[in-house]
Amino acid sequence: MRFQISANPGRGIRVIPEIPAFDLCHVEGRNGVGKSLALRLLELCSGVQPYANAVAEWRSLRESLGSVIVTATSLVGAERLEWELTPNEWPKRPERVDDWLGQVTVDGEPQSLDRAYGLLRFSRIAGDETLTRTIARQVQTNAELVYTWAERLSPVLSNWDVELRNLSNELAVDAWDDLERAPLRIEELGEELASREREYEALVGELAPLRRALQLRRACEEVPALDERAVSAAAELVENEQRQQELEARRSELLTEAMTAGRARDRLDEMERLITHRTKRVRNASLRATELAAASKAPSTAPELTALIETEGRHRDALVLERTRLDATPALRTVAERLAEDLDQALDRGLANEVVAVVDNREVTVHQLADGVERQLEALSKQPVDERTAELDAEVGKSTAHLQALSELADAVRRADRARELLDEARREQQSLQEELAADAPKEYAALASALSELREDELHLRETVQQLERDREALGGRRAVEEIRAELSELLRELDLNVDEVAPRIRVLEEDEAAANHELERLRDDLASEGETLAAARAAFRRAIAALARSAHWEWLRQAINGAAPDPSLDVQVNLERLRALGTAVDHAAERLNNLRNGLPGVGRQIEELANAIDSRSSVPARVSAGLVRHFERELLSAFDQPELRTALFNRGQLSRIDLDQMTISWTAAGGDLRTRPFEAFSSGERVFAYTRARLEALGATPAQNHVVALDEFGAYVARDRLDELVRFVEHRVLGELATQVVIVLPLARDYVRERERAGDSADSVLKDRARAILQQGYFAEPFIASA
Amino acid sequence: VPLEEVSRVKQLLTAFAEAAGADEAVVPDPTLFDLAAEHDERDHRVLATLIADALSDQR
Repeated sequence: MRFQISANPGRGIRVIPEIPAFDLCHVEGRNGVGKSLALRLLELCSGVQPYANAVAEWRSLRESLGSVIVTATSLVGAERLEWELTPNEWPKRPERVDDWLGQVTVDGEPQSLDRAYGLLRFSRIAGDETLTRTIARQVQTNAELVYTWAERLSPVLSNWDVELRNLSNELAVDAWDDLERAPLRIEELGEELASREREYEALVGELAPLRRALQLRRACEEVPALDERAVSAAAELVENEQRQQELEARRSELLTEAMTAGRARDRLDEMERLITHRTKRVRNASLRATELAAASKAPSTAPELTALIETEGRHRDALVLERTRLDATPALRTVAERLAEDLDQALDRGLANEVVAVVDNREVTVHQLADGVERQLEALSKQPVDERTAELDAEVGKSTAHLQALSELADAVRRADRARELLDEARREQQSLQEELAADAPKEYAALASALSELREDELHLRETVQQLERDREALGGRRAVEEIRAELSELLRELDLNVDEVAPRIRVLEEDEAAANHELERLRDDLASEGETLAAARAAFRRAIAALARSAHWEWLRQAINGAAPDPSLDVQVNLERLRALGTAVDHAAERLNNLRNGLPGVGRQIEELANAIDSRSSVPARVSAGLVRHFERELLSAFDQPELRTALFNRGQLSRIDLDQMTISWTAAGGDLRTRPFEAFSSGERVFAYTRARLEALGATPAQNHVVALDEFGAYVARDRLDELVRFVEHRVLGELATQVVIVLPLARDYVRERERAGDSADSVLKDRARAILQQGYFAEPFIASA
Repeated sequence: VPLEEVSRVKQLLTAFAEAAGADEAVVPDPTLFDLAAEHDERDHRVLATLIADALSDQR
């Protein structure tokens, strides 16, 4: 068979271009011309991976070899077999030969690799291979196999691991504890809150009579003076009114007498009436504002009121928010009602069967959504209201009413302020008119006007004082006489079993307790609200997880896998929680198994490699190498070496009984029944190696391929030991024809043919001339083997 | 899938797992290797088997 190899390799790689079709072919050449590379490429073409133990060499080859065309002609079964190799597409590790190798044509027709294998088998036997080396290589081949699978599976396992992590995230693990813990905590907090509220109410109850006593005591002290001031103020008011009437009368006279009708004076008259009117308005508006302020127990100045309204507004917003978090029903009802209205309109417009949404890959029509919304509205209307929610509703109502009262008060204050502004404005205009008239008006008139103005101002103050005194009096025991108040105080003190001086200190102590209790109540309410939020969030996450796992198309494979144990929205929360927990544990176990495989495969590869290195370097097997792996290889090697050819060549036809990799020995039972044990090294002497090589040639056995080519490589030592002829005789008689159709013996350059040719000059024979020319041209020669060569 | 290779690696992993002591940190599962080698990464049957096995172990 003739092989031609067409390649343009880079980076110092060379390959011989041809092996001619001689049955026993002699190839001899310089080192580095690419003899062995040619043989290895031919092994690859016949489906054998010669680089299984040489990853670095393989990587260098795939990077630097470039495209190669290998052609075989003069073969049985076809005229021409051709491979177009594409090393840049080869795998990074030396994997089992597969379609990645390249294209194959048989007689010009593209064919499968199997067809090529049926036509050609190419076997390379290395002459320097000892028994120890063979064992090490076989073990190393397994290490490479494990590495290859580790690399191949790593992305697959990683992808599955990502999917498991997605599943783990879907399980809402963070919500599980909250789902169980938060309701218990809410119950605890609720009980504690109720208990503290009772304590607080008791404190308030205890404080009420004490405060009443204090109030009564103040009344006893202040009422006499207050009554006196009220009488005096009333008298002053009467006097003021009388004085005003007198001055008014006098002014009218003066006007009638002294002033002619004139527009300015008419205007001054109008102004007088306006001031009178506005003074009444100020009085009424102030009175109204004061009453409202007293009713709301609120200040009656605009800035303070604005601040109070803002505070109360925030308080009510917080209550409404807490109400919504505890029970989203009203908010949901509002959304559903709006939605129902819109969908109703859509139905009217004939859109009933149009798709309005896509949920979990399922299309939802207007009609279906409207139906669903109506059903949910009905369900929401039947939603029961729990105790805390009812309490909150009451608090919200109270806060809203308070806010309304404050708003009314603010309006009244604004009206009073505005009335004062208008009154001031009128007075300023009156002042201006009077100044206008001053030049020709009698001085008395001006004095009268000024006095009247002062009197009216005083009247306002007096009325306010009277009102305030009335309110104070009302607060201090109503209209009752001091004696009555004092009697009530005495009765109260007797009931309280206190003397009057003990009341205030007692109130101070209880008020401190009240403030602390109030603070504690606020804290408990905050904690309760916070737990409510946590529970609501956990429930939402839980519902989402259950819905996704029960319905999402993405988890269809999971539902099928766990058949009936999948979470289901129709089941009880506790059942679903147990299912999620079981699933969570299962996901963890599954991820651990995946990771063990992903991380463990390279580790097993490394241990096998360490074993191979120990055998190759004849050192002891490291303790970290798994005993299980060592025993496995011992059994496998024993089976591989238990062949008749090897038993005959190396063990005197004995029966192999054990290969011990720890001791690096091989044991067999000799024909006479004796058990013999020898170290691997005992099979490395020259004679044994020759016997071993012969045995390996014999062990090649028959092949289904129509053409079997055997290459004997690295046989330089045989030449040196004058054993080559012996080997060639064996090949001629035992191998050629029977085991192989062609044998190629590859040798290093044995002599300096070029120099011999130069020295011989014209006396050189044709063989020497041809060899020298070939060496000069391409670094090697190939010719039929001549036994005496 | 080259079945002979899968079978060889599975044998190696089995030998390793059988002799692995309790202190062995990472022991690759031969059965899982067999399963993983035969399925495409888009195929969820391996994950389904893993989850079903784990749930069955819990029971």
